[in-house]
Amino acid sequence: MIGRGGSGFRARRRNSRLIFAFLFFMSIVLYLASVGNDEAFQKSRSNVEGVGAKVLTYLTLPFRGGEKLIGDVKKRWNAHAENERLREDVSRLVDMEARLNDLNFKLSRFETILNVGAESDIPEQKVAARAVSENDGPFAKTALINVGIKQGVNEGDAVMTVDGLYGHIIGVGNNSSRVLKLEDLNSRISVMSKTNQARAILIGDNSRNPTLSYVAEESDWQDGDEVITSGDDGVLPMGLPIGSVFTASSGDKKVQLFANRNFVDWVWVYPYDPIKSPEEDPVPDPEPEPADQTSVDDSETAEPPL
Amino acid sequence: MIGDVTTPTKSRSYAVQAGIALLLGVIFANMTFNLFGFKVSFVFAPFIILFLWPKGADQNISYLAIFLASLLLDILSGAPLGGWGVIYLPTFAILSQFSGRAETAIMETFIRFLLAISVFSLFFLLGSLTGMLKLNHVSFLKMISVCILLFPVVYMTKDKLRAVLVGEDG
Repeated sequence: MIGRGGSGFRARRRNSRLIFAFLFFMSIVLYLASVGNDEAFQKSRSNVEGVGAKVLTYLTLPFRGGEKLIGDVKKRWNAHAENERLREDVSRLVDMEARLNDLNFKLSRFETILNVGAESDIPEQKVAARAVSENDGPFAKTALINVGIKQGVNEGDAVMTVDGLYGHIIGVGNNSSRVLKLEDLNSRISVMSKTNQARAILIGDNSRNPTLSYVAEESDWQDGDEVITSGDDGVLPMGLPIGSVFTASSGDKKVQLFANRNFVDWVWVYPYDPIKSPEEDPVPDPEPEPADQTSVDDSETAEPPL
Repeated sequence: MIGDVTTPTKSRSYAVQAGIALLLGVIFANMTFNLFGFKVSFVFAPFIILFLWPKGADQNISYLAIFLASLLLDILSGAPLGGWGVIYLPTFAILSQFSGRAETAIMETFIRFLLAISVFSLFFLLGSLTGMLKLNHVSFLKMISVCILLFPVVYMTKDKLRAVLVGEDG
């Protein structure tokens, strides 16, 4: 029996207070160290994240299955109407494909004539991954995906859902990566309007709809404008779809993210080599030309100075 | 804080059981669900476990379990290391001082839970006011509301969950 008020009880209580104080102090120290220098813990973090990603992949399977089942029932319910709509889309797209092929042909001809490259920035190679954990907590809005360096993922790579940009990679492990979502307070993306190329910075504010900031006075952002990445930051490729603009009750221009249209399960990472600055990618010094054989021979045969 | 134990062995056993439940809570907190078209995240699920922590559980093991679970939550959620520990350790210390009776009506427990979560929210507001935490208040209120809605479900199923996890005798 634990006797309350006895010396044993008091000693245990003192011990537990000491342990609390020690662990609380440790937490504060870790917090301050981690906020100040996150790289110090990056390796141990990515190791645990790698294991966590594997565990969560299996743990989330039943939930994802259940959600898919409910989604399938909904789709079957609307199957007839959707079929009709798809038929109309197909007939429209067949015509558009022919036009696209024609435009592609013309574009490549112009490129050849003008000797310029106008190919898309968006990489053709994609890495498929599962968003095994999505955290919308007060500290960060991030997701853990189950691909890493071994699959060719690097820090800064864009992460897309079928609908639009989801975020970008901020930490990479061997088999897992951390994605900073567009809604996160630390997210800053250089964007432009697809309609008139007006530029802005998309800033996350921990809400579902990030805000358009640093909007130039002369730029003409309208509600409904499609927002895409501008590529001006040199980190993300140009042209990735993000969302559509609307005016919030506060008067701020906000963006309704395409990525939030559907539940996020599978994502695609776009490995992208950003354009390097001349300082990062200097031209190598020309190699010294090999010494002329004749002159060597001359010096060898030359008479010694008097 | 419910339940009571008298022997050190049982006390340790209760702390370990609660620790396992907290680990599950941490994993659960890192999942986002699509409920009827709404995206729901149970970020504060571990708080419910802390609230329902067995009264007589060994305090030393309890603090250690909470510290380790908080670290895991930091890593899985991408938060700065120690961030959740700074919040959950004092929360538990306060909750353990205001433990209720073992068998109370659900309404009474629920009201105590509402009071506890209000105090818990103060830590975040304090963090927000001091600039240590950038908090979106609307989003935070949503998280707290989801946690409040989840509480009755966990409370009513906790005994069944415990039986599944550690057996009837646990």
